[in-house]
Amino acid sequence: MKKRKKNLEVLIIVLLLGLSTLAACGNSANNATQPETSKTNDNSSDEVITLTFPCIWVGADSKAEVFGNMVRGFNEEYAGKYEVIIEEQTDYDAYEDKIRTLVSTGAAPDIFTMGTYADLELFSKSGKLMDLTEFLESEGMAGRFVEGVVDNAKIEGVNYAFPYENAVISIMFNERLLDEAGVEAIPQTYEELWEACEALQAINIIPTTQMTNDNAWTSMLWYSYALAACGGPDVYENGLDDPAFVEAAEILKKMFDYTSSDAIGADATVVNGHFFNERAAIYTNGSWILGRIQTEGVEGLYDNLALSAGLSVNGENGGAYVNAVQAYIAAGIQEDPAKEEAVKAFFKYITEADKIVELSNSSGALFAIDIDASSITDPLLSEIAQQSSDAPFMIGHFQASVSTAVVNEFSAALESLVLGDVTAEGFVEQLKAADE
Amino acid sequence: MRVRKNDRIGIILFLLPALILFMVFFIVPIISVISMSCFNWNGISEAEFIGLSNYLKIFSDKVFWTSMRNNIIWALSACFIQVPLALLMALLLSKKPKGWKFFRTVYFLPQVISGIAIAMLWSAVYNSEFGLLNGFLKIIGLEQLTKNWLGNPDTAFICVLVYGLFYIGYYMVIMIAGITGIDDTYYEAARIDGANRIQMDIHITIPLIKYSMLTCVTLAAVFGLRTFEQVYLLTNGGPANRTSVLVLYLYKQMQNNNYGGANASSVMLILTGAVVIVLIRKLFSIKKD
Repeated sequence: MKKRKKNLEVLIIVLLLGLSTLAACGNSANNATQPETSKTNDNSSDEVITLTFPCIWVGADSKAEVFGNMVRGFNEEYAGKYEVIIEEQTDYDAYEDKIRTLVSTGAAPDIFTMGTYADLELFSKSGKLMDLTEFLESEGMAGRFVEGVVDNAKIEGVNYAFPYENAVISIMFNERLLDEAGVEAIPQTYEELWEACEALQAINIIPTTQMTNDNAWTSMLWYSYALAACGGPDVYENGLDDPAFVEAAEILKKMFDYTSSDAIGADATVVNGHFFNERAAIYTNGSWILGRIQTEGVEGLYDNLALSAGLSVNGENGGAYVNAVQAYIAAGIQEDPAKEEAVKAFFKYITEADKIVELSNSSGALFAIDIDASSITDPLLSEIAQQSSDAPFMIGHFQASVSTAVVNEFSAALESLVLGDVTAEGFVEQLKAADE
Repeated sequence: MRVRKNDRIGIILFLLPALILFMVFFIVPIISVISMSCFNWNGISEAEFIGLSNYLKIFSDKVFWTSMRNNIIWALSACFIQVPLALLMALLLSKKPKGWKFFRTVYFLPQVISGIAIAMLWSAVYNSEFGLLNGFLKIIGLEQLTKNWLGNPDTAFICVLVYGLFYIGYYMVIMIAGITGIDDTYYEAARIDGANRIQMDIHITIPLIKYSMLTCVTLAAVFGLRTFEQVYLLTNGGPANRTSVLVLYLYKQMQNNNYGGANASSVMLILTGAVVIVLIRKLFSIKKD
């Protein structure tokens, strides 16, 4: 009798343990599938349709405030019908990892962004992205975008995403520091740039800002400008076999002679810190950084900025601009037509020209939405828009023009180049090897 | 001692939940990793069977071997520097000197502080422009020694390693627990025989906490082999992959959408871990004999 009682006790404890484990799993599973429930709700239901949007335009991002207001505005306008829930993600690399994992596991978020065409191409193969072609060609949407950009985002004739933010990259000079160094004119050629760098270095000012961490973002932009100068508008046509890639690598290597001692291993925070605090004089980044320069830069920095297009090499290919789509917006495929309508309503809302103007003026970012250029109130942003439209040619930045493997290898290859492990030719070979 | 039938049922029933969870969350994923290492898969498209090509590819990649070498150095330094340091601290603190509770907390603190916060702190220490280390060298007149510690191939790995070595608190606590369990009569007998503190530590304490030390060495080796956080946060494997480790290597394969290569790297990591654990157990059992 005693033994039976003991066995019964053991059995009850085990069952309780098992049940509590399953209950915990079940609970979280319920939470996780909550949006899923609304996904399958039919139209007749009064329940609010919720859309999840893992978003990087939060926190310290220059678009965070106005974009956040846009989402709140949408939720108010469609109160009781649709609701967009932002999942804040402040780390760009972590965001890309998260989206890649979600798409590959067949759980693409309702709305999300992508940084490169390579990712768009890859994700389109998953069959988990909503086909937006008809929607983007429909009345009311077709005329919203800058000419050609929606077509350029097609994969085999299908729009699985639309371009939203445009990266227009400018070279920025701190004129006050240049004056201090006795540099009278903004360099137009690389030869003039080296002279300016010597003058700045002589008075202990870091001439250019460089980095190798976080995919070497700003150094990658310098490389893109060097590619424009060495290879002209068609530099990407022959792939990495074009000799311009080696010539541009030599320019980039020389730039590291005129940078901070912490450039190897530096990330965007370090680079921005040098320029925002007037320790460095020459910098390049997308127009969106203007918003941060205004708020985080030392007093007067914004007013001392001079903007420039690309420099020339041997008198050739000067004045180019570097640009690329910075963010594509896509949606996960929906089984419920009502939810698909909600996604489309949100896309319509965030592509309205007046909202884009507000977003541009507040953040310094430029967009693929066609707006009246005169409505840009920020003088430097307006100048970038003007310079880029006057540029003799534009090329995409390197990261947007090569495969993901090459993008990821760039940082290590650049470090090898700067440390002298490889020559400029070796640098390009390392990139090619990553592509195989 | 024979286990009675009823007890056996009880044991099985108690083990069952853990066994099921272990199978589902450990054994099945390992089998999946091994099988997927023979496929070319970008995570989205259909996987294509390619045999051992992923292994051949990673074996011909010098970054893989650099990562493997760094992992072995990391594991060895954890076993031969971290654990002895922790043992030293445990021996000192177990004697309950003045302020021992404070020091015990201080040494354990890195374990409970976010790794990101500590990494930011260390990256500020090592920064070449405004870092504490270079600042200190300048103050003491050794300006010629200042450098970009994390960007210099000669110093980067050592710097990351030093940061890792500060995590001794975990092992220290395990060994303090072992020391606390030693019967006082051993020490009383030794004192009567005229042994001093160092002799008591060498001849009584250390032999009696041998199995705590084995646990610490095993854990240190395993933690050393799966190091990721410190390297990722401080150098991201740079400069030029000089500080790369296996987990970072496989993470980068995943970033390149090369899931087959990442799985092959995982298999190598598992095998290395298994070999190291077997070697450690052999080492300790040889001493026992």
